[in-house]
Amino acid sequence: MSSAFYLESRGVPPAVAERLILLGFFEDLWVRIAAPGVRDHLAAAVAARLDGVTGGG
Amino acid sequence: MGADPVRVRLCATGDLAVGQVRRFEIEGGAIALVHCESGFRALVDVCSHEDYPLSEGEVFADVCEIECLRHGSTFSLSDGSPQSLPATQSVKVVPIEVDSGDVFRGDQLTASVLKVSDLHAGVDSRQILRRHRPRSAKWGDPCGHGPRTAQAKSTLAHVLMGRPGYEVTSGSVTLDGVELLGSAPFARAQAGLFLTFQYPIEVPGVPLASALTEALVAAGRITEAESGPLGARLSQRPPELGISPEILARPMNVDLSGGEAKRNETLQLAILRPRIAILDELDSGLDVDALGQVSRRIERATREGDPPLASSRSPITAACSLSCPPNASTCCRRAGSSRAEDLSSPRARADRLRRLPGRCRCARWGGTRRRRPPP
Repeated sequence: MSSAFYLESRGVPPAVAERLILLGFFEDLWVRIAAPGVRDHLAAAVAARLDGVTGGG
Repeated sequence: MGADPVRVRLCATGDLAVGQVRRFEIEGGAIALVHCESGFRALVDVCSHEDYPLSEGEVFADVCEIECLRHGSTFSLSDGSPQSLPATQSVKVVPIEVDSGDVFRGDQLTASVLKVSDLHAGVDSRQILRRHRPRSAKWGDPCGHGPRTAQAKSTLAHVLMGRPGYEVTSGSVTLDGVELLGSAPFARAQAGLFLTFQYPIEVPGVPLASALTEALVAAGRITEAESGPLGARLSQRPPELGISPEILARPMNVDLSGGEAKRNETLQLAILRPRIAILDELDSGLDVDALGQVSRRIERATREGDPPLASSRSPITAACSLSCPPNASTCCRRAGSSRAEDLSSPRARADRLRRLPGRCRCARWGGTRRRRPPP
């Protein structure tokens, strides 16, 4: 059973679920970056790139 | 928001002796409620022959009929059919429900009904599920689905939710008349189906609040603008629901103990307010405290009138348990078991549980077995 199915079973549409899960992979990374400014900047950049990949959130 | 009529209480069962009739002026027209020997019956309170209230007439409680005072036509209270002239047309029957000493008008329910019929499913052409007998679940009748093991209960739950890999080979599953089997899992969820997983799946890096927000936005139940403060609104909920900001910010189901995972499932249930909730072994692996908390959430979620968090499809939720009906009094019985008697503090907790409001509405699918809590 996949996390995607779990999210979908809560009513999250597949595309949104995919985006949430992809963004979730980066969470481990963000906590290792001490500087909040850099972290937020990178997070925003990744989110923007993901919008392109998953066709928007 | 939550303004749908749920069900209209007419009176207590003791208010009307056998053989008595009483007129109730309620929304949708007056009805005549009659207490027959076989139970409570109601008809629209107008004789089909001439505009005259049937409730003025005489009741024949033994044969379950009522006579119109005006011209003497008698009507069957069971199906409304005329038993004697001059009336020739039936009077509409109003469904009545009796629940724990109260009489309710049954058709005011905006009750959701999940119907499962002739459901067959397989994995890789191996049959895993055979359900010939149609079953249905309705609000007001929390239903259990058999205590025995190896009955494909969890499989049924997952097939209903649309788990990938489970191929439905025949059958039909409808929620309030809408066929679910053709839709994707998220569409079933948005239609109002909810499954508490026996083993909730970890979703690393995705906070609970984000997932719930996305679900509510996708269903159009909150707007994008409202989604920001959802976390704040959630944490303002009554403390007995146990919604803490920490749990909302944590990744879903990651590193949760068995009890926490189950509590997390019911937390989502309380927030999403589905029409039908399927509780797959919700009570397994829970201690007395967790069982109490989980049960209270189920009770709150299934109780009418509790203000929903997001704009709600319906203020009510049916819960179909796939193990035993999890409610306070079920907990009470369990809390009183030998496991809880060993130590004094669990016993104190058990005593506290025993005083919880609520009653066991233990009914099998399609059955009516009901129990009262121990006094």
